[in-house]
Amino acid sequence: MIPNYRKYLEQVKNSQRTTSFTKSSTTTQAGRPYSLWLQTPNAGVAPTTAAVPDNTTAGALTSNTAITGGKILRFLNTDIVSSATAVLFILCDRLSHQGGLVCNSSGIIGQQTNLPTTPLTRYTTGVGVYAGLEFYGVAGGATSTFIFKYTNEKGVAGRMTYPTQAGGSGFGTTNYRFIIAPLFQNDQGVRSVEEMQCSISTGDTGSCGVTLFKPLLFVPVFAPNFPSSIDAVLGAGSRFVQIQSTACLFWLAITYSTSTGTVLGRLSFAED
Amino acid sequence: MASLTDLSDVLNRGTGGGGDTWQRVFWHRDPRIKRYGTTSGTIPSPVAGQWSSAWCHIGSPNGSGSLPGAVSAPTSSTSGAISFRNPIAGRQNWLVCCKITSSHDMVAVLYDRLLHISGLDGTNTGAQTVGGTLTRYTDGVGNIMWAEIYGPLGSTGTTISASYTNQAGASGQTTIAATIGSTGFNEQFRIINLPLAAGDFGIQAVASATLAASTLTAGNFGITVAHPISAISLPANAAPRDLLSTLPGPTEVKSDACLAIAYLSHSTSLPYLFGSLHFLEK
Repeated sequence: MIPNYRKYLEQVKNSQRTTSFTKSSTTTQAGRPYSLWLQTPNAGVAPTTAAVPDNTTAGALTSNTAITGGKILRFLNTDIVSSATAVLFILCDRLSHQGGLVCNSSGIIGQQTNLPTTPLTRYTTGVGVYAGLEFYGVAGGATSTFIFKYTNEKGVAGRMTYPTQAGGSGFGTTNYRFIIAPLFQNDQGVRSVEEMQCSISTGDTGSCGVTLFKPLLFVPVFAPNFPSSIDAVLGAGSRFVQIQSTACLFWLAITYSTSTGTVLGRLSFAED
Repeated sequence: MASLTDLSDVLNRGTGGGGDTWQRVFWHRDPRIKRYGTTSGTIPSPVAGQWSSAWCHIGSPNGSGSLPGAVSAPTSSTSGAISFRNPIAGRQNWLVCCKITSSHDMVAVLYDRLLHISGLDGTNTGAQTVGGTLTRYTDGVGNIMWAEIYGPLGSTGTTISASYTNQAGASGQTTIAATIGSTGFNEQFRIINLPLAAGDFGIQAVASATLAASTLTAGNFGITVAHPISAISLPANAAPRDLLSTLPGPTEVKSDACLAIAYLSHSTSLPYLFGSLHFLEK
């Protein structure tokens, strides 16, 4: 807890953890979410088996999220600049991921390869945890839809997401596309995903996987090469987003044009 | 009941002082998913420069809104609402930051959906009953209403007005006639705002809606009573609305509020919406 502004200033001065990062540009379709997980430098690796990534996993934005002694780590500030026209960056905790799913004719039956996802070790109730279909290879141009079968935040298994487009222009035909699956009505989160199914083949493999993630912070960048700053307090600040110990931080990006641009930024946190 | 007092109070409550006093809600709505209400099919493109409703766009949390049917007062647990946690008894939820991104330029309005009905007929020129009872903002102050089109109306333009009770409890008030029907005013999920009579600034109840003439297609429309909470201009994909350092300041969101999005699109492309809401409880 930070009881007052004076204490906040003390923490800014005394207990900041700062990390810098950069990501090369990737091609996108405007208005659609993409994952920067595989973007260099410090690229992650497409998962094969189901696993729980953490702060030590290659691709995590920083390894410095471990906390000891019952303290709480909170987001303080970020500065991000991108060479693209405008980008919304969403800082997320990557909670569980797997690979080995496909969107070709083999995928139109229920796929359970490397599923269910590994049980959550952070946000274990599943409240506020979302599931995305992350593309590690390019899907075909035929329009298909996919669903996840999942266990919701109440522990109810067999829930199904709404059929969502996969394949076809803008829906997996470029690398790194990240399609967030809409949960069934009245569900507030996901504990695990047990199965994925496509309605028809997209015409290409479309190597992909399920990623469970917790969105933490929106950082809009409005103009190319013009840094955007968000602090914890004012100016649409983060309100001290709590970072769980060993969080595996990564970015989703939604672009206004057709690339993320080259990204350079800094994140800072503090314990209390 | 108390409002936030100063920056230290915000810091304290935003970091857990006084219990579980903050929450962040991440939401998204995707109009390209082919399911809504009791029908199926693709959600049509919005009309540039006109208001549309995202009530039936699917997303998380809470899926998609449905065609309301009989008049009802939706809540945060109604399918389609951007649900959130109510404050504990004796406290209020204060919205301190609202961030939205859209795939296309627009103005988005976060609102509390107070009352809605569908099933009204685009060919019926009689007074079509609305009725129902508000359960939030019952004094009516700041409430607005619109006609919401759930099934395309006819291509013949006419006007619509509604009979309502204003914020002072005066019944029999009539909205200023607004165009409905014809291109740009008859499409599915279009919103037709119904301006209140001169001097009125709220709605306690809506008795009926009346078309001046038939649009020549029954379609399906309804009346929605809403309480706007925050408006965000999205000129370049994303925008935050800080309610701590800018006016109108922290804004109360009532317990059980049925939060939803209406938007004024600048293009004819369907918007893919993401957002986050930051609440402090006091």
